Amino acid sequence: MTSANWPADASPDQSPFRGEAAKQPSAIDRTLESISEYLNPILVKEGRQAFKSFQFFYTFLLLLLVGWAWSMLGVTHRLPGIYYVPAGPMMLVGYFWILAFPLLVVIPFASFLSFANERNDGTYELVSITTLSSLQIILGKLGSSMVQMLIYLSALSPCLAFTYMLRGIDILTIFLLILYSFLASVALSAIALLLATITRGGAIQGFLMVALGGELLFSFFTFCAFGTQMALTGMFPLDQSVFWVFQLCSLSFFVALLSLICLAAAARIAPASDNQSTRLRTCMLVVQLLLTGWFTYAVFATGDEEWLFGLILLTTIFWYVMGVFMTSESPIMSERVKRGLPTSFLGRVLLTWFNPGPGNGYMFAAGNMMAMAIMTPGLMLAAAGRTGTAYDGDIEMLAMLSCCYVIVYLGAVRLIISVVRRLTHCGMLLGPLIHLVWLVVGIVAALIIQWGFFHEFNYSPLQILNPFWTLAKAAEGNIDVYTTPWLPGVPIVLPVLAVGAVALLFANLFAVAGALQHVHKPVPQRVIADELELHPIAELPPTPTNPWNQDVH
Amino acid sequence: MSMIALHRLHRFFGATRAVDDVSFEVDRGHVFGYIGPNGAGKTTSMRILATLDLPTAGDALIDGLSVVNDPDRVRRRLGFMPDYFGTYNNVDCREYLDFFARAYGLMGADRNRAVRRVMSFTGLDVLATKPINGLSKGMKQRLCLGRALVHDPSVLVLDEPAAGLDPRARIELRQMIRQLAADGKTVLVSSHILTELAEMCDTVGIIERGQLLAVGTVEEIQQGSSAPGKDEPALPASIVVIRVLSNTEGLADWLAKRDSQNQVQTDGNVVNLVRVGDAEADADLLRDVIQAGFRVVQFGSRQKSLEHVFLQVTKGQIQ
Repeated sequence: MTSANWPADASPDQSPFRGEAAKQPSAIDRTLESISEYLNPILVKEGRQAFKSFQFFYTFLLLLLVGWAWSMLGVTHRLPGIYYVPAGPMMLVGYFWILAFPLLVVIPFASFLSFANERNDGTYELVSITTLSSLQIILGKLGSSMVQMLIYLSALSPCLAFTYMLRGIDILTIFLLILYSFLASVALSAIALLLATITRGGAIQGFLMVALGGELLFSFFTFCAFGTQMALTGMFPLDQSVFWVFQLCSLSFFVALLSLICLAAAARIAPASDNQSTRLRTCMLVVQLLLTGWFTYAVFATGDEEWLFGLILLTTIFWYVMGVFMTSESPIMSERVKRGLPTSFLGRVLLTWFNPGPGNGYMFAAGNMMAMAIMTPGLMLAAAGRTGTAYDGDIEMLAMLSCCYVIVYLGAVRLIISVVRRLTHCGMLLGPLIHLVWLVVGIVAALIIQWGFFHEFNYSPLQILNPFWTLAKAAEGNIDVYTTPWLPGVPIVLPVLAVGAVALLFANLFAVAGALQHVHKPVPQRVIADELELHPIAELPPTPTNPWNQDVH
Repeated sequence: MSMIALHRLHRFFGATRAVDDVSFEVDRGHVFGYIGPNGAGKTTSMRILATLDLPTAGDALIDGLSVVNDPDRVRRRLGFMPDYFGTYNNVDCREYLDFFARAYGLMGADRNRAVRRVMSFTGLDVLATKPINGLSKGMKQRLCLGRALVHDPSVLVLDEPAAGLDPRARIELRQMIRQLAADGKTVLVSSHILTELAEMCDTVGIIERGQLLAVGTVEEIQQGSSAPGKDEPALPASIVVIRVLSNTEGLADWLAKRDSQNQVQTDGNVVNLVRVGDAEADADLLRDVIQAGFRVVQFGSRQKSLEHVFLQVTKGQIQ
């Protein structure tokens, strides 16, 4: 039977990990124990598990063995020339491939399996009802992957140092290649975790596992090809400032997109009553600001307004993809979310679009696209004024068409989803699927009508439902040959799309009016009492009310 | 304020009404037994209480906090033991408990104390470094109870904690639960072993096809005054056992004619009579039986067991 009552008598504070034999822990143990207090609990648990697992043991052992074998083979192969001819790049290529496999394939796949198995075995449920937030769970899993990456890197670090000693490659190139591998591994692990949150068990999980495996192998070979090229040719222009600006730009996008992936994965596993959207939308806005900022910098730094094509293209893809997920959100706003709604008029006007819900999400995506369409001509004018180049009307046309397409396609499917929701549950799998089907139907219908009925194989305004061909033509500057008699100089697709976009925008605005009527709900007294219990307000000493009672305290 | 309160809780899965308008409350320091056949809706209700599922309608409160709107606050004061183990590979008992203590935000000396306390309480201290995979089923159950207790929650929800345990382990578990209740913890426990529930629970609820059929103290349930929304006793109160030397069938007929409400069964020389009545009525019955010429060897009256009540209240329907 139990050897103690509940609650047990005050046990010593000593860690349960210290046995009787080791009553005096070493300074290292004490330090590690105190550091672990501040680490994510998932990271600590996964670390303990991973270092005892066969997967880690065999991967680590194989890494060492293959690294050693390549060292022997490479050096033997280059003898005796290795004493006179630089052999660093060739050796580095081998080590790069050896390191890239665990980093780009094994660790991300293990991350997927780790999370998927936790969901299948039910252990995830036990973790989810602790006080850990969903983001902490995701970051803990990602953190444990990063620890494994660092251990694998450290295992091969003597070999990497060895390549530097063999000459022919500078230390910065070695560092950059390792950094890229590490960052790629982090990104792939985050994507793997996001995929693992999509579904639980069943055929879809099996399909995702196979798709992820294929994607990881593809990434591995692509990345290794890139690394080989860089190591052998030494093509990093390390002495040019533009190279470092590009590194900074890439890093900023990496951080923003990684945050977006982690937040999306956390949102997938968060309690349904949580506000899963506002943080994500803020992150999306940061990505948009980065896009605008870096492309504006590029336009002004180079004097080439062609960069704006890139801005429009990436902004369109980004907001369409984000819009697909935002319009698939649940339309139900929990009482808990309502407690956090803005209360002031200005707050409601400006921040309502950050609230959860498909209507708000649609308006958020549409608003960002419209901002881009308005801002791009302004940027172009500013650039033209600064560099003296001519105003390019094609950019303005492309921006307007892109904006209209995003509004039309997202708006139409948002309305369809709202109808589907009356018949069945429409979540984060069915919603994006409807979007995909709608996009494919639009493109295929346009092609069938033009090719099948009119036997016309060049671009025509019948391709109005086909955003890819129409936007490609607009980017080429060839779209304004199809004009209307009553609007000379304006391609026919623009007014048609604009009318459609305005109509769908208003149809959706009407439909989301209900979502806009949600008002702030006061926090229940029981919750306030609980909050005060958790975080009691410190009793401040009374402040003197006049200069004469200063001495009272 | 009740520590556990279900308010008109509904949970539908398509056309299946897993939980259909269930309401009950459990006070601090009480043990509530949740009884029902397989598929009755016990686990679904418990998962909603544990913030793992959402109700279709209604709400459930833990210490006055909604499981729907404040799941993070509920989780701090709730320990949940599901009907599966949920253990990890390559982890020993101590590491497992330490992980959950960290996950509940316990730090430093508090965490060490909490882990030692639950290992001691559940008798796992001697197995601290043993890998979980090597534990017996009973030991795993103890470990899971320890996990649910590690953050010292005020409410415990235990789904079939005694399933698959040997008699000694079941008795020990029962004693642990009573000990926890004595310490002020509120416990909601489901089980198929009704005799045990009758011994450890202050209140019992019987659920079938998602609907709560009876709720009340064990005595109320046994006396049949516990059907939700009914003031009149709905269930017979006792079983009278009469052993005679001969003419068992004659006695059975006589008893059936005496009161048409009586339910009479014969078993050899014994007649079992299920009926409503107090001790005075028993005395009258004994007198009448003897005066009618039956040669009585043994006469006794006992309250219906929870198993009898369960069988009578439920219909064995599944959905």
